[in-house]
Amino acid sequence: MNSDCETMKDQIADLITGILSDAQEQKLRQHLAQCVACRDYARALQNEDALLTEFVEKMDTDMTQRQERLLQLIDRSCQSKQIETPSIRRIIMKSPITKYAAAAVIVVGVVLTLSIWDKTTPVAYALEQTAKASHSVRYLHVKDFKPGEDEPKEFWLVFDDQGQAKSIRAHMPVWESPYDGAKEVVWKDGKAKIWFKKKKTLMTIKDQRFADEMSKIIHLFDPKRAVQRFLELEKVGLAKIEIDEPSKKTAPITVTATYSPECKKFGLLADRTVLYVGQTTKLITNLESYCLAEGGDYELMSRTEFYEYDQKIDPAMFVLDNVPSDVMEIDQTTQEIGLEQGNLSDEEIAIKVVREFYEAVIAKDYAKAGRIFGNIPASRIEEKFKELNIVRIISIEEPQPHPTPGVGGFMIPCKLEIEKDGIKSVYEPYGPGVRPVSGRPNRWNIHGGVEK
Amino acid sequence: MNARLDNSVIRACQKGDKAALAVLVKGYYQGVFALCLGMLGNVHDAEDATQEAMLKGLLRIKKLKRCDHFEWWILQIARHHCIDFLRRQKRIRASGAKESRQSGSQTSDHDDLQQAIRRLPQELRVPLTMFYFDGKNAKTIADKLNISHSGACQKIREARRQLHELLTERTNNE
Repeated sequence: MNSDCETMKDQIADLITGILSDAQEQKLRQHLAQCVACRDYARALQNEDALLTEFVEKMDTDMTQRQERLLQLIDRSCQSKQIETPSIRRIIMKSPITKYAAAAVIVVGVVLTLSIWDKTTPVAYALEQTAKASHSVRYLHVKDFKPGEDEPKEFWLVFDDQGQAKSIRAHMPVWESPYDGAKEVVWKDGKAKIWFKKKKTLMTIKDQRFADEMSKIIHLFDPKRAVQRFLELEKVGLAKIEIDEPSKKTAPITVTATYSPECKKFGLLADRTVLYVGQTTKLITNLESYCLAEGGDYELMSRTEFYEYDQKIDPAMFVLDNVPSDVMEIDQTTQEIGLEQGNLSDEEIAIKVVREFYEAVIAKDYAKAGRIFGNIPASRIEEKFKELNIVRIISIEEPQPHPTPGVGGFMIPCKLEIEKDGIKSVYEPYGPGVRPVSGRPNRWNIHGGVEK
Repeated sequence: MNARLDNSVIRACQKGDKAALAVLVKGYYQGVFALCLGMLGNVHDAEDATQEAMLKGLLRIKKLKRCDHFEWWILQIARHHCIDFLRRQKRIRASGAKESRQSGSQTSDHDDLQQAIRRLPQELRVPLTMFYFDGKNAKTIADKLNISHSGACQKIREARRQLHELLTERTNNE
């Protein structure tokens, strides 16, 4: 064995697992021809590889039976309305907390075991008073702080008579989405206007998904729902609530809800929530969320501060009128964006979108290219692509699911020929990402925006 | 199964189509098992975890809004299930219960391999098992684990190296 052998070991592992490049393989084979130690190592790894493959094949054979068993179990579960075995999942599916969770979008969802806590909590009189006091709140200003970040997320909320949010203004700092940068969001009448400050873009959308996201945020910050959640979780034994009402009337009442670990696996992120409630108003002033750290300590995850209960918010807050004049406006609620899917499969329309986009760029039809690219104005497309000088589409590969969960759609790897100063070269753009237009699933476009 | 090709299958499952459900189980069972095996390091535990996670996921499939996220979603369910299982195991160990071990000196190559896989750190075990169960495609593993292709290759390489050391060490001790 010589000094090369250590570095060769990595390449031997890559060779056996089939991830070594051709050039490296040739070099490695030359080394193997001369080095007995490395040949032995390669042989050993080869044997282990065969053992691993055989092991997987054996597991695969056994798997058919287990798959059958699983299908039978599902079948039985679907057919029977009765609980054949003590299926806590079903108990919970019928429980009020599940219904609440669906409504409140705090995903407690399916819970497998009930009550691991002794229900020895004190009478939550303060909680019910808080629920009552916050029920009639119509205006609210909320700041949500994350440890280590100076700037909070900030929300101004207006509720209707039924307690549903009807207008929202939100300020999202950079840390909330470093890629998009800071955002100002106004949501009312089912439409959202989002000002992406970094991308200098103002987008108007009417999308149920966005509306759902917004209501999820509201549910998290709505104080009356926090109290309701505590009461519901306590009722089914999934939270232990402790109330500390200090004798000093200026000090806040502290309500600590410690959740059962079972809550965690259904999406409740915190292990403990602490509410600070004003003794006179019975309204929540602060809400802190904690997670349980390794050593058994509770670490602060976020702190939400509630201000200006019922102080009327100026309607001007819900109009984005301070947007600079050079911001690009994209209104996805009125304009035709992207391409119609028709009878094409998702993959086919995704490829068509990319092909027609680059064909439009090559033909210098920047208006068409802009419509396909999220309705970006022709001038912005021209600014970005003219200099690149794409002359030909070399290839468009198979669509790949977008790697970022939640984004949806596909990434379409492609190769383009570009020409600069008479020299042609191959250009492989990032993405492009293609997905249905927000709120209009029958039309597909390129998304992601163009930075100025 | 390619996640891109089966949106219609998932939609059919959401409507209660049993044939589609069987297709889905066959398509994803192995991937979920590979993840569970990687996380738990024990075939029997992984078998149970796969059954439970798949059952849980498929009974809730109507709640899945984005069909193209099914694979990510079911793997997340399995991942959480395994984390919970490991947490429970930790609690049991802390309370003094002894872990069951295979006894007897007669062990097969597969037993040795399982023992060695179990001793790998979880961060290497997961990509390794997924790699072998997924037709040795490092790119797919990278996507599923949300890591780069080179990162996936590096982990598989390191896993193979450590596995070799563990298997050699065992042979030398016998």
